[in-house]
Amino acid sequence: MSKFAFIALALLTYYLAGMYLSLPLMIMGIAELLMLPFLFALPRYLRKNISAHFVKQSETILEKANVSCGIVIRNTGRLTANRCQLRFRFRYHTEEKSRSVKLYSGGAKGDSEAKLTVCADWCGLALVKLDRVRVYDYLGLFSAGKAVDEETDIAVFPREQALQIIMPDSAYGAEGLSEYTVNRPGEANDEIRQIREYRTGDSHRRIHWNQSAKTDKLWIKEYERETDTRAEVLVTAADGMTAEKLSLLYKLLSALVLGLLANVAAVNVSWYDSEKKTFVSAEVSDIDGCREMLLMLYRTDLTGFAEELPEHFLRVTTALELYRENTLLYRFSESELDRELQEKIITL
Amino acid sequence: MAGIKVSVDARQNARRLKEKEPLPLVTLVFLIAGVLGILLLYRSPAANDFQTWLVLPFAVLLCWGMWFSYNRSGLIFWCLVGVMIIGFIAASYIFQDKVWLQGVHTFRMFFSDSAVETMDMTVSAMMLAVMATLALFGLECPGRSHALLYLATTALLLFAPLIDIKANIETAFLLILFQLAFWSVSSVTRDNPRALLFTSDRLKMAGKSALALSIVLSVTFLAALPLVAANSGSFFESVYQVEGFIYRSLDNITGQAEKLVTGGTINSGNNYPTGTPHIELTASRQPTEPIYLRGFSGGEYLGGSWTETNDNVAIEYMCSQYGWDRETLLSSVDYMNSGYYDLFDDEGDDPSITLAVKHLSGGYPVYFTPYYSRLYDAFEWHSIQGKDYNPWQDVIAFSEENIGYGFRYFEQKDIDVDSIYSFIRNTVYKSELEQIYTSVPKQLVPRLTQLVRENPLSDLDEITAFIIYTLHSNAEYSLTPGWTPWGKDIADYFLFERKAGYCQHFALCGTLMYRLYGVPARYATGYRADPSDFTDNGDGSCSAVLTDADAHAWVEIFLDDYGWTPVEVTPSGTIPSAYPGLSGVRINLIWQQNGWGGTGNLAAAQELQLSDQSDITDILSGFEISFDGNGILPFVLIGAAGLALAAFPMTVLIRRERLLKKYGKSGCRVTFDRLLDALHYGGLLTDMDGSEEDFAARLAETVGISAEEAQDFVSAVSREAFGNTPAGEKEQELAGKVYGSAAEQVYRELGLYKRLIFKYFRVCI
Repeated sequence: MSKFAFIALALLTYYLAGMYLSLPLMIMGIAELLMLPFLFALPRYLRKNISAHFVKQSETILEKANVSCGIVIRNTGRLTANRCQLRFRFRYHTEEKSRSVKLYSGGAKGDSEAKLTVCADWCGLALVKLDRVRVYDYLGLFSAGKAVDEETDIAVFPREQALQIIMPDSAYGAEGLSEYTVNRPGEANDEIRQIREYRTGDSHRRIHWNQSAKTDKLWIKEYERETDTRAEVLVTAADGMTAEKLSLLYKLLSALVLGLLANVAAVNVSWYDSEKKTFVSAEVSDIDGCREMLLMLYRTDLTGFAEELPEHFLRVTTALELYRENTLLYRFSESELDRELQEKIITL
Repeated sequence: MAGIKVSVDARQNARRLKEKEPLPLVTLVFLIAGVLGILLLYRSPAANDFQTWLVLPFAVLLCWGMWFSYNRSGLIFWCLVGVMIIGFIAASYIFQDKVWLQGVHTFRMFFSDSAVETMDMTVSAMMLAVMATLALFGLECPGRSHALLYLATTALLLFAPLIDIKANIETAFLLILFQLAFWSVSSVTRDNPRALLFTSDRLKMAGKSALALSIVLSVTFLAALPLVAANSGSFFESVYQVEGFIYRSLDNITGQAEKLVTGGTINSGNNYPTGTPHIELTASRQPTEPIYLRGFSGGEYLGGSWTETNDNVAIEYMCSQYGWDRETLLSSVDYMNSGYYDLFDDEGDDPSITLAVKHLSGGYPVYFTPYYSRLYDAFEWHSIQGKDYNPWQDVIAFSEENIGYGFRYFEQKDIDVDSIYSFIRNTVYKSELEQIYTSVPKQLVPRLTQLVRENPLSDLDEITAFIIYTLHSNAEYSLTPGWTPWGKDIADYFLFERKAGYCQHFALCGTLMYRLYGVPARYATGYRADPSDFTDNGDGSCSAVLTDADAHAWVEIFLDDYGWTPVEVTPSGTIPSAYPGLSGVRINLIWQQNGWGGTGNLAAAQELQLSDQSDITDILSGFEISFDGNGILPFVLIGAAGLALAAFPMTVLIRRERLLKKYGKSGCRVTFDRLLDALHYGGLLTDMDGSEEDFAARLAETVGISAEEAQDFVSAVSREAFGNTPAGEKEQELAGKVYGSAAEQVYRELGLYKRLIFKYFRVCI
């Protein structure tokens, strides 16, 4: 629009110069028109030297929270680019359609870092892709774009919410669970069976700080119960699940696992991987493990079914149903899920 | 549920908007350009003058003050704004008499028809400088409303010619520089709600881009200057071609092209005939003289238009003046006008021509009447056409039958003056015409009046020759003379400023000049048919089709023996005879006798050539005049250079002071970056970027500090960079010490030029 306004004003200047035989105005109009080729060429020159990428390839975020994603705009040319348009496409991993937004930044010589705010309402894997950079001339009349392929994954996790679970004396896949009643994570004060060196993936909460400080190495406490109390959870999904519905499943699963972890040392979560055509499982013993498990689950295609389900499992479905073996324990509501996760007490 | 939302951080953006960023130096330059542009535009009219040595430096000082105080402190800035506003009000009160006079002068200059004397406008120019600085700086910098200013300054530049303010080349350049540079600054994505926060210094970046743009603008301006100066005619012609195409198309679409040309309004723009046929003439024999078909006669000149008049005006006037019977007088005048035709009839030798006039478009709103003619009445005309006459229909209705109307007229050469009744000569009628058709609103045409006053003449032939000489030698015939500014009378503007026009303008000036000499004259419009326009029909008669291109305007004067007679004053390549008794040869002779320059056309052509060149030399001579000491350019240059000389060191020192203060508060990482920058500038450790394991050892060795100090410094930087806690006071102190040693080491080894840059521009020490 401003391009046409500029050209129209230049032509009006030219016209009025003719009508009033004003050579200064004529020179002004011609100078403005002569500038147009430069302004047209400028973004094409700047485009060659401009690139952009995300600072991090992946980010984590809690649902309905904001995260700032850094973007580096690199200008290797001699001229500054005072206006760049960045087009971002974003979608959830399971969705095919993406939406886009165009945001603006500057491109000074060297690197400039810009901050992008991402807010995700649903749990899952959000993909933010920077697919086009457009550079403008100094008056913003002409622009030239180029395709880029930069992407960052944003893993959106449920907030830390444990389902209240009352366990029977004998639980599924576990022995002697009666001594662990409804505890909160971190409240257990079990006897330490042994300490071992830190391995990637271990919870930070189990670091033996005293020993680590003495030896300058990280040590992990292993408790007695870890080896002998365990719960099994199976996740099943139906076809055609939207990102929003899957988000509810992830929230329920997270709450269930954290609720179980208050009672058992570990929870083994399994699901059927349609691509690999096999069951995949992940052992979860704390909140970090739970998030790792969720991340694995986010990246898995859950749409297929195994013909035969393993027995003796707690089962969670995308319909937000919780089964023990084939007995429905409770069906959570989509609209009231948050409240139910807080208030509902599940007795196994 | 929206799922994902990708956006800018609106809260942080809003916070940033409240933060004040220092304006780069180039914004001051562009601001000065804008304010000076406005002041120079104010000074453009010849009637406006001010003390440039006082006003322009004052304006530059104001701009610098605004820019400096804005960067320095909000309090100082607002104090300065307050002082400027109070000063403006105080000046309005203290110099109220001058302000009032200069205000009235400005108003008269823009909106009065009469010429205005030059006045010293220094006070109002200084007040304008205050207003312009406040408005431009306020809207551009804190206000960030460039679009409004862009439109306002564009309107100033483009519409100034409408009120006859002609911007010179410097003014145009300064204003367009201001417009485009600030456009560039404002296009930086600072205020855009979809602008991402980014780390670069935005205004600095904007300043750089504005500077680059201004360089390009200067180059294109310099390229356009000789291009336009050398081909001005082609450039202007291209405008007229486009405008002509649009006008013709619109006229054809709207049907305007078919309208008959009549009326007394002088066109103050260009004339683009479409070639649409308007009138068909059929003459009983081939004419040998041009036929002037009059559709309108102008009585009183109102400035840009004439009121319509006819003989009835004179008759009514005479009746009221002398108490005569109207009917008797009417029959006498009618006899006077047609009597000599009857005389020819009586002798049986009738050289008159029967002329049939048929309107091809536009109906019959008026009759276009040839001179020395008598209109056939309906009965006669039907008889001639071989049609039955229906008395219940008037002649207009006959047009539907494609009959039109007809005249019997005489060519000038066929009129035997001696045979005409003496009644026509020296009648009361003529003396009354002298009362009516010699009035001129002299206040509208002061220069034309003065010209006539300075060249007193009494002989009609001499007067006519002088008028033709004046018009032909001062003005060029052109259908595209451009527009007349508002408030300017078209007659004076055409003859003394624009010096180009077409028949309406020549006839207008000719009529007014005749009247100023006391010769009864009227402005006439209609169509002109040349003998060459007619083609033989094979039966002795001949026909011509007149288009809107044949529409014409001329002067008609009252001759004793002939009555109203057309006088051609529009140049057409040769000097035709003006009226019976004044041939082209005699006109040339009168010119020579009076020293008016030999062959009129030659003189006119020479004048026109000069006129063409004057356009080119006008703009170029602007610079010469400026350098001769009469213009403002030397003052601008000297003032700007002086201020730059004074302001530059101060700005550099202030910047240095600010940066040092800023660096003093920054952490170890910034100090480390500065250290590397300083070392690399001095050519030291250029192979290292600080991440090397042996960096501390090499640093100690190069700078002359202990290895422990160097190691502690590097460790502190690493901790600050990768840890969560900022460096402590001792570490900061150590960093300062290491940096100081390094900077001194580098400074000692630099040459004078690099030392200055190191100290004052890179602010490394």
